[in-house]
Amino acid sequence: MLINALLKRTGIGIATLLVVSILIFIGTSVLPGDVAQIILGQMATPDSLAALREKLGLDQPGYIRYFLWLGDLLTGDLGYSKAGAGAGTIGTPISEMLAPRLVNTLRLSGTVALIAVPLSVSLGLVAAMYPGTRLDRTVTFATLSLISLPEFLVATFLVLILAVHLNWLPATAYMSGDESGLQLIRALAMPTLTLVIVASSQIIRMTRAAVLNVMSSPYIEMAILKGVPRSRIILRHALFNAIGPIVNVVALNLAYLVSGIVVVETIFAYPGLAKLMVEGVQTRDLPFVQACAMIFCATYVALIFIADMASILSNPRLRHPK
Amino acid sequence: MAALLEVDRLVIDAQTDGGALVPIVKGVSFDVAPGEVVALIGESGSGKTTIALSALGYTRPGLVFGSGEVRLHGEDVIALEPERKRRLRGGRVAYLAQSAAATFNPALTIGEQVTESAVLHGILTQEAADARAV
Amino acid sequence: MSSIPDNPAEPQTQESYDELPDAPPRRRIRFSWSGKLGIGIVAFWLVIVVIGPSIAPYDEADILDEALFVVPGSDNPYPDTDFQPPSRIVLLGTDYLGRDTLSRILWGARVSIGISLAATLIAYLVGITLGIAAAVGGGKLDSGLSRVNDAFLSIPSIMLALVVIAAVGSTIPLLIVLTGLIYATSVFRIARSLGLDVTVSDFVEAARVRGEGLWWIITREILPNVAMPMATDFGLRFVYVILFISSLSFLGLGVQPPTSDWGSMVRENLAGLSYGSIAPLVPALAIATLTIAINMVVDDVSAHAGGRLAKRML
Repeated sequence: MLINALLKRTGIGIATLLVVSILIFIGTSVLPGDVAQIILGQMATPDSLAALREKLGLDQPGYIRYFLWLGDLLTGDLGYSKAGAGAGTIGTPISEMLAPRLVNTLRLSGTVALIAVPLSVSLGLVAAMYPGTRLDRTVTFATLSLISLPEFLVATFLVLILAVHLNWLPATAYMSGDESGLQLIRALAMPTLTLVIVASSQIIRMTRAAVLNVMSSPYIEMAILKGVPRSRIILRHALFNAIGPIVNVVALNLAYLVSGIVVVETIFAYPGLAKLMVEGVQTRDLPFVQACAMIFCATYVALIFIADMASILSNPRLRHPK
Repeated sequence: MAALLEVDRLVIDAQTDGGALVPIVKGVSFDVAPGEVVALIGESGSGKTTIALSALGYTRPGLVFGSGEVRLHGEDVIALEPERKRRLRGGRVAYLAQSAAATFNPALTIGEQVTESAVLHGILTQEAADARAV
Repeated sequence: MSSIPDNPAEPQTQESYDELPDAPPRRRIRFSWSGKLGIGIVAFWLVIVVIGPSIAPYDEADILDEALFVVPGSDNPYPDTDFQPPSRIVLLGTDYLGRDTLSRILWGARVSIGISLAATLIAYLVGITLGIAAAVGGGKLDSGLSRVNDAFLSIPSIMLALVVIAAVGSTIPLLIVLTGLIYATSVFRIARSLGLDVTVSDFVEAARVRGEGLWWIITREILPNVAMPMATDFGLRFVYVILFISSLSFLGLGVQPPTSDWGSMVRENLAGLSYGSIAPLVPALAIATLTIAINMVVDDVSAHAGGRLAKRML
């Protein structure tokens, strides 16, 4: 039963990825714009345009182009940039443009995850373990206020306080690519802090709700009535049942990070993939935007998949079928 | 002979959304002698489980003790500090729920849960408890 | 043998079976202090949407004259007009071009709030219609709509918006329709799930057995019961839409200058932060007060509807 559920969910995941790729392809093909014209520019003649179009496969019907694109994608050929988008010129292979920026974005998101997850899960747990106490109410109030704040507000306040008034950190995250150690930390600090604040408030609230939900189960009441000490109730009875929902919460919020990172990279001029993608949108570089969108969406789908797997695995009915 | 359990003018209140207290157990009194079996009979929602749980010094979320005492061997269990209450539950007074399904934690084995209380209160060792359980 | 005497003076009233109450009884909502504060703030901004431009001291595009800022007694007849701090002339200071921040906020309210409201309404119109249709229609209609919806839900909203804007550019009507459709996906899910819950309940069964038509069932049985949860969802959805559109404007992909819009204002004046100007902060705060206020109201309404458990979750 468990294997069935897992396989089914995997199948849905793959199907979703395919559908997403179709949607993205359609979205960017609404206005194909003439890639050939742009690449050849002033030197275009009707013959050379036709030849280039044929070479690029632009003269073929939509669905064939889709499968060609998909095939290229899966073998790692991401195509050529139409407009250069700030990190290359027209005709630069997209994978070259992408790679260093992707590394930066992974650095940022990795750091955020490493800090935010342990911090917020613990806070959410503690708040749920002692509900109604001053600690709990403080945590609840703080997260409630922070949750309504958009990333750019948190970011602007952080810049105002930390960079302008206290001068502790630089206001932008300009990196030349070979920083390390303290330099790297200083550049990463503000974007990381912004994302950690925004992501944490969600994770704390949802963890707290998930654990409270477990704590109000009848078997927990039974454990109290049996005189089981509080620490054992939490660690042995509650935690097992709460792990699934907690992993679910964490995965969902990491997926949310995919969109949050776009604003944060822009506001801090952090040289990551999201910022490059925004520039690509501004210059209408469709092939580039397509490739970036696939990367971000694939990550998103993968994280949601993990979240669902956690839910399935933590369902005791599926784990011990009888 | 002194009663084992004395419920003395027990009042239990429910907290409404607005914070007001509404009494749902209004001054119940009865005694249970050693070896005696006492049955509380009433419609659903009349407060039978609530009264029974008070013998463990416990109220469900949303309920509070109003006034009155519940005495086990002459000692009021409602007024006990938390650690003594904990030792009382499962140690001197046990509760069996009417629905077994609700009692058991799906994440743990039944064996562990059945023997847990006895072992934690130092009444039996784990092996002895396991032997008795089977 | 005793018999219960009939009172002949009182005729038996015929129970009218065709006037059964079909909506749950409404208890008055009691708002906490935060809920009341929230309502106040939301009402304030709605009023500003209507009268903002009329009470603004300057026009939104007015670049202020330097003469206004000459310090009496100083020998500089041409002071800088950009990023001026708040003073009696400009209550909230000026922005990067020398325009009055307060006026731009007042003018911008109708754009920022208006666009978001329009988009949310579209999201609701489309989402509820399709959601309830799927719930009541069932079968192929339901699975078809749900599959399409799930596909769109698998793409983060911002990515979808970026892709479409890259292809067709950004105009205000496009922004409204695009955002509306993106958020219609979440509304669809909720409307469908609520519709399903209600559809299988007894009173809808009874209505079906009585021979009531689909339209009657939807309007008289289903809608009154889904109204309250949907109202709280509307508030939450509105907040997401406001933040989404502001973020797009902040990226330069939403409302285009010179139209004043709170998100774009944050973007334009970002450089002012290093001068300690509040120019980028004021629009950001405007957005924040609105979204927090709506959240406070929604919390109260959902606690009322959901009862004790919902309050505990807060």
